[in-house]
Amino acid sequence: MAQLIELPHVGESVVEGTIGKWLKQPGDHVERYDPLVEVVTDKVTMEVPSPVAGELLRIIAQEGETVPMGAPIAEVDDGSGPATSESPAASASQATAPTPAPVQASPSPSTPTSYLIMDARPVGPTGGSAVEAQSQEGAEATAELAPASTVPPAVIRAVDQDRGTSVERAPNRLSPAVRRLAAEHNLDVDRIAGTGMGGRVTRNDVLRYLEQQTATFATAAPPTAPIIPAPAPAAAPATPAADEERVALTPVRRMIADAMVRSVTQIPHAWSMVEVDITELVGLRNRERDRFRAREGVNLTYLPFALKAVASALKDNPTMNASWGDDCIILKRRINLGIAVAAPTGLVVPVIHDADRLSIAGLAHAVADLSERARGGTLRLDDVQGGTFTVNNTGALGSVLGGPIINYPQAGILTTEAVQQRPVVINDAIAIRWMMNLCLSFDHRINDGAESGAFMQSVKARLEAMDGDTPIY
Amino acid sequence: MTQATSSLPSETDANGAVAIARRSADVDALPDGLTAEDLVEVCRQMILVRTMDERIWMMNRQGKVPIAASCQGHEAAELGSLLAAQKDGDCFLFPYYRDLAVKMAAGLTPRQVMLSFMGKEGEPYSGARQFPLQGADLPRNIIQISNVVAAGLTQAVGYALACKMMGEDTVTICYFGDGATSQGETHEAMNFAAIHQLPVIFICENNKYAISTPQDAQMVVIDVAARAEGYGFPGFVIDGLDLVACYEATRQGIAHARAAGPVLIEMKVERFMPHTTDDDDRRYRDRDALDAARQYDPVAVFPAQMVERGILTPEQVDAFRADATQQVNDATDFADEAQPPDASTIYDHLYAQG
Repeated sequence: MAQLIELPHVGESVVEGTIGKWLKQPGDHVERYDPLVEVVTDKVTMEVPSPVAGELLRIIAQEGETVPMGAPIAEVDDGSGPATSESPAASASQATAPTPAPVQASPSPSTPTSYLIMDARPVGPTGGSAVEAQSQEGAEATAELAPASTVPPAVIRAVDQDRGTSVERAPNRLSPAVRRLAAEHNLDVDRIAGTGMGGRVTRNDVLRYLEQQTATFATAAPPTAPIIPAPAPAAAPATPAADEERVALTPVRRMIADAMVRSVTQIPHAWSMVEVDITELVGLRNRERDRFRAREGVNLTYLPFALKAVASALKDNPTMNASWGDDCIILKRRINLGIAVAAPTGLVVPVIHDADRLSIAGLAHAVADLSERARGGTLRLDDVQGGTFTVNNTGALGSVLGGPIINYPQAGILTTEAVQQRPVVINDAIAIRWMMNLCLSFDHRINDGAESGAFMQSVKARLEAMDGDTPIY
Repeated sequence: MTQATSSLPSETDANGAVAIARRSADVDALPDGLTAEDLVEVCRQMILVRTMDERIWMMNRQGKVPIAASCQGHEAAELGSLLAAQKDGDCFLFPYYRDLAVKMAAGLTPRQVMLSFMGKEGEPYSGARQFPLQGADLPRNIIQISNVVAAGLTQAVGYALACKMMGEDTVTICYFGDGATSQGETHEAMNFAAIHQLPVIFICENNKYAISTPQDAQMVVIDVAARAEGYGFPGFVIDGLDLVACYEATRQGIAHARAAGPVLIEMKVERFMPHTTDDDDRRYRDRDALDAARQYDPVAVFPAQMVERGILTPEQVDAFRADATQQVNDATDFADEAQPPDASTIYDHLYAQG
């Protein structure tokens, strides 16, 4: 029978792992406890032993892929009977979005590898909810705020030993900081969708909810629904309505979602755009394009020119090649440019390390190589690590304007938009020029408008200065 | 308390520390009180402990053991010293978190160990409420482990003081790592023990790393034992990979402690695994040096010596290994199938009954 092997929950506070190297290949026989795969987490690089003996049927999570703990990574036939393979997609959604603590959780392990977290139940004095922690006054306010219909049906009854009475507790486990925050604002935490592990409501979830609530009150409309789209089954009804369809999340989709939420919730994004006249560059590229293709075997697009300009501009504006360190700003000495690539499984951002040391031809090769391997799913772990700034060529999709989300924890992300001919006023005359928009999102904790403006002007100036004399090698 | 009153054979090494029994004696000269049967049994235990330790690590990597500190490389030190304590029969133990071998040799079964590491119902010490293996086992004279580094030393000295005040013959044995010696409590404990001539043995299992901090970044002396002189009691450096040497040092240490007060025994061991399952030692340990150290692995060397001495046959050693694997497999499946503790028992043991 085919057994799904899941990425085990290892280590406290570790929520995802990156597949380093498969130590067995499909068709190989594995013994129980044989090292199966090397996994890299925030804390350790480790060999995961096989929980079963049998034949490795297929690898689900490829090398270089980062998947949440509990996600299926491979399938092993344990030779115990006819293959009745569980749908990996169904299992993935189950594993990646566990329901909040069940009312009467079965104490038996629900899956071979995940019970450490799956079985976590709110028990004991530290497991109470905001309802329990709130003052009487707060509880009343909450009752007024919350329509009866929003109270979840799942409520645990626990005996309060001091008073010998029964108190109601919502089945959502909260940290003391979140409980206090919720109590201070008289919030019903059940109304807030959690983005933490197992759907837990985090401090950021509460802060975002408060922000949103303020905005909603300003328009005199009471909040009626959670503000953040909940991680599917965690908050959504168990069965889909007749007029909707549920698509199970792939591990990559979940990872992208988590990364985006982390970025927009933690980084105060600011945005700006400049127009760049690249008429001269278009001439250069048109002149060199066929020759370059014939000689180098890869296309000469505008992206390597833009990368060259960005890498040079980052050298002059080091605070854009940085990240926020809470009590400091961390400047990165190396310039490692991430490039966003649409792979079949979803967005992936391979990294051109030390991009400032490459010529335009070198950058063209790096872009071609990384894009091809990203689409083929053969990126190595190194290829996706260490990025310090990201460039996204949204113009390839015809976009002329974008508001990109920063690739956490970088200081900024820049999009290169479509190259178009537009009428432009030059010296009081209207000219037809090749124009491109550059859009920048930047972390406003690290840089203000002055710095980001200087950076954008630097990129713009470098691109506009590129002409027939610009060396490609 | 001076060196002269020590009953231990002494020789001073280049570093000023007094050393005994570096590398054990030859085949025929077994130390006092030790029989060939003892060695066979301890060899069996050593193989079982290692098999268990490796499996615990694997179960962490399968997501079933939240955290573990491996004792791989410490087995000879722990089993040799415990054997001496058991032979003596009146010792009280303060182990630390890397002392799986102490606990197993004291009588904890593989099933109990696995229940403890997986946090399942039936966990022998605390009903799975604590870190693995950390509860007290008073029938076996083992106290609750404090996970706080060096906290055990002051507690052990307090226990030794109580024994002395009550006129008991009990010798307290306190285990700790080299990292603990950088904590202030170690000084307080050792100084206090010396002032009151308490019957306590400080056993430092020196594996040269305090998590990721190498010994030369913790202290300028080569031997922790050299510090004993400053407190006015004897300190000894032992090859902690040599089981018989560790036995003999502890045996003599017990006699000394009972007669004349504290002793510091530094057992030089190796840490073959990262600090815990949450640590990645590739970031700070030289792999070649680690591989080189493995040639002294007690779990390989000791059985080989036993065969060489004609006490065991290779077939018997193989049988120990097969039996250990079988016991550990059984323990793993048993604990895997066991239930987590029932939530309704959460308040049990919190308050005195009645």
